[in-house]
Amino acid sequence: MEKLINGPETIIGALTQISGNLQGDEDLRVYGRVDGNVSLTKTLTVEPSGVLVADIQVSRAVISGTVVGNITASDLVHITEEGRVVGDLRAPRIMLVDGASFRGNIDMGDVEQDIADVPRRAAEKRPEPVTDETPTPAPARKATPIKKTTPRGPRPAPRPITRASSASRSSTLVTRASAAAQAVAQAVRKKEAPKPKKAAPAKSTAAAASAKKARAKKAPKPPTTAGKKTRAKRK
Amino acid sequence: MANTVIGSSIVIDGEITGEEDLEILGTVKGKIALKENLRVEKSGVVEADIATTTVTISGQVTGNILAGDKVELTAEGRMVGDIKSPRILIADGASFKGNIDMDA
Repeated sequence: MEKLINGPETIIGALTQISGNLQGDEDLRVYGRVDGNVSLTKTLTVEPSGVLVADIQVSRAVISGTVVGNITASDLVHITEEGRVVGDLRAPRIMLVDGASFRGNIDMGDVEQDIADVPRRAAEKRPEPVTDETPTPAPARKATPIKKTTPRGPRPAPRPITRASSASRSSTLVTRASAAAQAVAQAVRKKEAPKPKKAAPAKSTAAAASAKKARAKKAPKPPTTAGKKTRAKRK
Repeated sequence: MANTVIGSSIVIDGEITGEEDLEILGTVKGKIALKENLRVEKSGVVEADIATTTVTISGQVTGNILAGDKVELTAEGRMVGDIKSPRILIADGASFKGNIDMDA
């Protein structure tokens, strides 16, 4: 693909070594080894099997192989995840991909002007995320320990207490209502069920009635839950 | 991919060694040592001592050639130098100046 797009291209095969100076006005793709100086006006591509021990002056350098030497590029230097470079890089655009190996200095030219602009941009952007971030984590941190400490205590005791006394009333109402609904539903089922089981519906209706009475007395939840639990324990 | 191609705008000043085919469309000065085939294309210019198995010259070569198998000078080929090879072909239209030794 690249060949077709780029047109003329010089290839140094995997089994070829060149020692000396290499210069040209076309793309160079190195699978083999070059010792010396390389100067191109186009793109240098060092494939994973390629080794360059050379000072390099190119427009673009894409390094997937090994380069020992300084690279000066008028456009960009791209060290891919397979690339290994020891030397200094000098180019306006330099890409170091995760996995790439590099040791040396990097000079991107007029970076100082860009750096001067960066704080301004950052200052414009930062305040919003900062204010959003700081308050949200703080309550989360406060809230989580409380929640964690309560379950850590002895489980059987605190749960009923929290539900009965401190838990929100709506939840108790819901549980009461659901309990009552269940009781009614049971009663309905048992009424519809065949006659021999008359005793059961009588009990369930009685239970529903007692539940209604309990609601009327406004002290319903603790006794009912406690009673159910004690029954369960007895069973 | 295995082969090496020196493009038409490339100039190499130094030594090329290899164990695969080499195709030269550009300029090479120095020394070439291969174990396979060398082809100097029409646009190729070689000023080097060459040691290979076979050489096919369609461009311009200045230097001595030591070939293990064959040297072929095509109609477009121009060469100045000595050739030592068991088989040497010089086509009609080729230009050559130098010594030939087919003993090897």
